[in-house]
Amino acid sequence: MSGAGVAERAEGAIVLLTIVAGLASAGCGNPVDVVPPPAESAEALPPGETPVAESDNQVEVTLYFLTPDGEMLAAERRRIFRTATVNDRARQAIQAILDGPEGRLLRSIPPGTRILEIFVARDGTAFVDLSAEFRWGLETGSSDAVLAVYAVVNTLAQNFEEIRRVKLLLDGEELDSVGGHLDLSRPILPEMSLVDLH
Amino acid sequence: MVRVVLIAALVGLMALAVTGSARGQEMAEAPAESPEPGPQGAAESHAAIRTIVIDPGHGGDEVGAVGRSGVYEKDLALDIARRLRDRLASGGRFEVLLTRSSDQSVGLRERTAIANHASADLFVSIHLNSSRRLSAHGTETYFLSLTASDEEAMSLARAENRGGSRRLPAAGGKADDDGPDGEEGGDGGDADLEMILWDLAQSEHLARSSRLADMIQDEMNRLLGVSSRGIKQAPFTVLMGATMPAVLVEVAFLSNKEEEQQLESADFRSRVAVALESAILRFKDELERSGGPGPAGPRP
Repeated sequence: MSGAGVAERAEGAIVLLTIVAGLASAGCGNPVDVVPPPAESAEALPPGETPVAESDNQVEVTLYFLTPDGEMLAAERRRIFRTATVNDRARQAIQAILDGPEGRLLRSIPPGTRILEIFVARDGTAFVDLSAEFRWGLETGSSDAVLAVYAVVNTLAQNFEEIRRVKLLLDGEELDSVGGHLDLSRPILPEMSLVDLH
Repeated sequence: MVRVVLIAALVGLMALAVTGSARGQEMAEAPAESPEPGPQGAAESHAAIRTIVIDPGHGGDEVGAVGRSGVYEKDLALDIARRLRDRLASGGRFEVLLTRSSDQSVGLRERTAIANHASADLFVSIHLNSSRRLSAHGTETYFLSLTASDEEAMSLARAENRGGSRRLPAAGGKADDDGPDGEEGGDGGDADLEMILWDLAQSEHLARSSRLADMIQDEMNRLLGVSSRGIKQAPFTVLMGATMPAVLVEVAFLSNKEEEQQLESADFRSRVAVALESAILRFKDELERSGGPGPAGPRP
């Protein structure tokens, strides 16, 4: 495991370099894209507050949580602020998933998981870097891992036309797999067959 | 469903491509054209499935899920795999290989490689599930989801079919690039065609994997009464790169008290093996009725 760890760290470093390079090149055209101001995203989603009625500066998104029996994903509608960059809107949506469902659905992401970075590349790949809690909470089994990964992937791909696939990083590192099962070495496409439509 | 239609369309496209192919010689080596008169006689030589690789999950240091009694997923998975092998291999019906026959650690990609190397017709990985929600129960069968690189390869294949002259890029895992790609796109048609054929064969494997997954869910429910959580798609590492229909069965939940008790009974594990065998036989019958012998796609 330690040998693999070294390799993972090395790969992680490469990915981070890639991201930095991506940030730099994106920054040439539109500096606003580069660093979503933390203050903005904090005020964008007031914790525990139910979004008010639809207004021009808000947009409705579909978030994926677990069905009450925990077998599939199901949608909950929520409003986020219509901020300028897709990076920031993606961050708001994922933060809302981490905060948990408001209705009858169940949490889809291991508790304690934090967003470290979200960056949407021009080719439609969203790089989502989550804290290590995401991985620790998924060592249990395939079902939990599959649904947690696709809660993130489906939410981003469904709501943002700029995003077609998601590359997950954990604690800044590129991982081969989560829970020893799922391949995270490549970007993941949405999988709507996991969604309960009823 | 859209995907199934797409896959069906692509399989049709493959048939067209093969007709006009200069690679007929290689295709002639497919099982369809070269039935080996085996000891089982003529009927058996047309079998759609001859070699099956069964993959008991985890092993060695990697114990997998742990039941509350302390029982390991790796041990129960191996036991079920052995029972399934004994059933399938009896009477010489199938050649059956295990990716591990003892408590040893085997890499995920190595497991798939064993199946590819054996030119297996089927790959079945056996696991036990586990969840933070202790009430979670039932069987799940997974097959591979389309990865981003598949998506790109397929859309390029479609563009190619419409008469575009774009070169297909080397897909992930295909390192044997034939030198610098010509931008003119005129030469190297064989390599393009090979790529397309390989890709389409993968699509067909996916469609078949989906059918087998369906049947496993059916039989587990019918013969064991284990509730079905449905067939699902996800990028399981152990299924990636398999050049045959491949599924991963999560038999039941070790984290669930009732199911753990069931899994600890040898009788229950035997019945799991019966259900899996029954699904595989149904799958084989359907293949033979519908499409004739053997996977239609080329074997890389």
